[in-house]
Amino acid sequence: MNEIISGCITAIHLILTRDPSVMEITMLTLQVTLTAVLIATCISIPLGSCITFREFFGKKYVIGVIQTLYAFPTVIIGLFCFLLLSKSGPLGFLGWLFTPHGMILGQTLLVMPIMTGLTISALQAIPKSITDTIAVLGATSRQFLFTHLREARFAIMATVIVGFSRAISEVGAAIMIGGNIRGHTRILTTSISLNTSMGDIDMSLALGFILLGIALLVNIAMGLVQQR
Amino acid sequence: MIEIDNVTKWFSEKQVLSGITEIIPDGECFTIIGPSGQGKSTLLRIIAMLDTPSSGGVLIDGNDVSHAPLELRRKLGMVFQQPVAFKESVYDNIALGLRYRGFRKDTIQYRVSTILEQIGLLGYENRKAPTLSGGEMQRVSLARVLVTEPDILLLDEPTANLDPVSVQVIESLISSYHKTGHTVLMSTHDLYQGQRLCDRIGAMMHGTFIQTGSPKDVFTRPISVEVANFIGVSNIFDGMIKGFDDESMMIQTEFGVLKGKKTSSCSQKRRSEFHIGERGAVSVRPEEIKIYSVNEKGNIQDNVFSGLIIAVAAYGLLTNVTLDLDGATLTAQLRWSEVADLDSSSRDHVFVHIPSHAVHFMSL
Amino acid sequence: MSMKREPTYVGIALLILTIFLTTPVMGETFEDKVLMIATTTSLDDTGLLDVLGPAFEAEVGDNVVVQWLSKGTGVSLEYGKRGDVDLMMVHDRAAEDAFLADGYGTDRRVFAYNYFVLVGPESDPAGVAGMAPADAFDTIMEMGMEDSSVQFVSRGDNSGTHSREKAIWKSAGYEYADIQSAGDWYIEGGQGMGSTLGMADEMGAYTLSDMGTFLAYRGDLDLVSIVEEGDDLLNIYSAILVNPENEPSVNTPLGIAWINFLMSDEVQEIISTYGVEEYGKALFNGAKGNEDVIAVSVDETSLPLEIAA
Repeated sequence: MNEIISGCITAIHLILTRDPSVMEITMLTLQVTLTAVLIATCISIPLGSCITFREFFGKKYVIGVIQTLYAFPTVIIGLFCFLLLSKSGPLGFLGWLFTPHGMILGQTLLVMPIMTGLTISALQAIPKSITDTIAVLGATSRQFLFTHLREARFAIMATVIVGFSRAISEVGAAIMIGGNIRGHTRILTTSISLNTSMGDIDMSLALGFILLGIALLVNIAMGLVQQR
Repeated sequence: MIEIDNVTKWFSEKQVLSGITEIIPDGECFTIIGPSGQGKSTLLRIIAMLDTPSSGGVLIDGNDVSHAPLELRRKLGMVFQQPVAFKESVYDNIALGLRYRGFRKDTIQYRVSTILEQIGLLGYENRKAPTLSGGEMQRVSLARVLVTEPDILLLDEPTANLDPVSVQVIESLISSYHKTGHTVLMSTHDLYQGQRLCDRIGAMMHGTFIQTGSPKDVFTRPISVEVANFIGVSNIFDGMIKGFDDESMMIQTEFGVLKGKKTSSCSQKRRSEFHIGERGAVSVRPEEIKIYSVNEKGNIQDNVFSGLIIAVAAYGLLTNVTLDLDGATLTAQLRWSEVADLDSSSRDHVFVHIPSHAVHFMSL
Repeated sequence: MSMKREPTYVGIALLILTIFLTTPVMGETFEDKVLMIATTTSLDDTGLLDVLGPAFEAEVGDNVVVQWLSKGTGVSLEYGKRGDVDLMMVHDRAAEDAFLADGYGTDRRVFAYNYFVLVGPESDPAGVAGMAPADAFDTIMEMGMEDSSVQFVSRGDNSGTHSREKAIWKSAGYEYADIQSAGDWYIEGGQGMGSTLGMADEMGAYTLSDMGTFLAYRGDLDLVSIVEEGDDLLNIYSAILVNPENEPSVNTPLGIAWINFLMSDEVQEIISTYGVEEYGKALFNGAKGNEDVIAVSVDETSLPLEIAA
């Protein structure tokens, strides 16, 4: 218990004094995760909408696969991306291994299944009478889609929050793809991992509290957007 | 104009619509009545392009709905049985269709305010729609459709389970919309509503229109026992045609021979099609039956039978009198005062007169 | 619906703005200015690279950045084979020889050495203090089978330290596979040196460490040095260039500069004195000038690399 309190105090101290290495790590974390979630949102929501509203052969299986991917271990995604991005791999020419760009790729791939799947759930939860009403009112395909997304907006916001949460809390992919290089690919979670293994519990807890603090801020921001 | 051409619809093994053909001209108000689950909603959904028929087709103004462009879709409007509330304000709910069509803000403002007043919800613009009661929300659903001024208004049991005020508001709007020349196609299982609002009624059973006609036609001359039962006609007996004379036909029933006017038979079946020996069913309209005490029989000749009063029950301002005619049970509907008159003399043994215009012969 | 979309767009715009405002942090340098090194954890955990890296950057200037991945010899060599790094700093002669023989690396230079040390709880439950390394291991094995207070934590991660541990088991007469399945006394941690020391400390177990890391962490640990002497414990650090023929994008010029930097007198001096102030004893020894001690040729410690014309 003492350690936890001590961790809290350290966290506050680090934030107030704007400790440069912590700032650096935090900024990088935000950049990587926010970018990944933004990209994933831009892909997952249209993809989820398409799957929901089109009938095609094997639709149920596709949805089943997407939901299975929710449980994809982050280290496996990390390994997969590592093999892709390694110089001896197909995407080696990008030079993204051990860089934040690679980490963004990893986190995007990580959260896409869950964001796509939850978008589908959100849209499928809309009662048929609403879908019928939208259709009969003479909506164009675009209007049809946007009205549905708007009607499901709370659930879709929740989807984005879930995606963000999974991305910001993952370690496996970030370590494998980024290499945890100080100043370049070291983010909050990989930092916590390193500090814990080196025995610096205080710092680990502090960084952990900072991470939770960020998650809280993001939630509050989302909440404000949702209220309107 | 809506042309329904031999439309059938199967859902897996079950046939819901079995060959419907009907034409609904511009400006007509047509009501579909019938028991639940017999295909009323399915037909409306097919016309609204929410479902496709298994075979056959629907033409609207000559255009096949299966290849319909958006403009054709926008000529229709449909209100469903369940009120539909989007998670927006009442204003935004109603304005939805107008926004789809790209109307200007001030036009939208004008139309929405006007209709809010018509549905009695002025001042509700900013209320969140899901907080409204069922009746209020159904009014909003109707308003949402009406503001887009569709040529054809489709309604699937629009007032089912609503409070009386909402029912009245909705019916009045449907009625005035019809009166301004728009086509209305509605399904209901409130017969009287259909009768109030519409020009023609279609009775749908087993996935097809068994009978269509004006409300008066359908109610007074149901084409079959099944329709009669649905409409609530009572006093149905087995009957066999015994003979004809100039204006009437004689029908043998279990309690005696009934003389019915030839013209009172269902107008949908030509008289020449009835033949002697034909078996069918006879219905007698309860409100036309006259009951006389023994003393008052007077000069009436035809269709007089002696009977016993078995029961008397109040029915609003009327009284239902159950009679036993030689073993057959007949229900007569009298005014309260007529029943009171009977009190003064013996009530048990009476004479029952069935005017020939109250007799209706129909096939089984 | 057009109304009320504005707040959502505002929210998204804010997010995008945040990302762009923080972009400078992410601004990556171009590849030819980055030297990517794969190194063993003992060089990183001790903080030596935190000194050498910036020193090199300051000397070379020109926006050059040194980045290193601290994973362990096995993984480092893997990265080298794949061409994902420019250079490796490792300490497993046998594996290095194979690596070079297979053509994955071109030049090797020895730049530092220290000793491995068998550390353990002060109570020394197996009673092996001062023994020869192989004998100590043998005793630990036998006692571990019977006495639950005797335990050994292994790196278990194909690092240089782990390879040395395996070599000592072998010279004690055991097949490594037998040791792995010998019993609960043998614990394979799968972690870096610092973490492994922490684990051994927590469990009161023995473990093999390099002297540098042990000295650096000693203040936080209750472990003490049990066996410090023996030929088996010599620990030689080398730097190997990844073969550009396998992966042309490897930054050979910078790699060469780094290796020459390591061999320079100034840096050898830094290496030989690193840690004295803080830990009372140097964590490493410069290789140059000590070729006899570590049985390598002078060329290996001193011959500068030249950039091919």
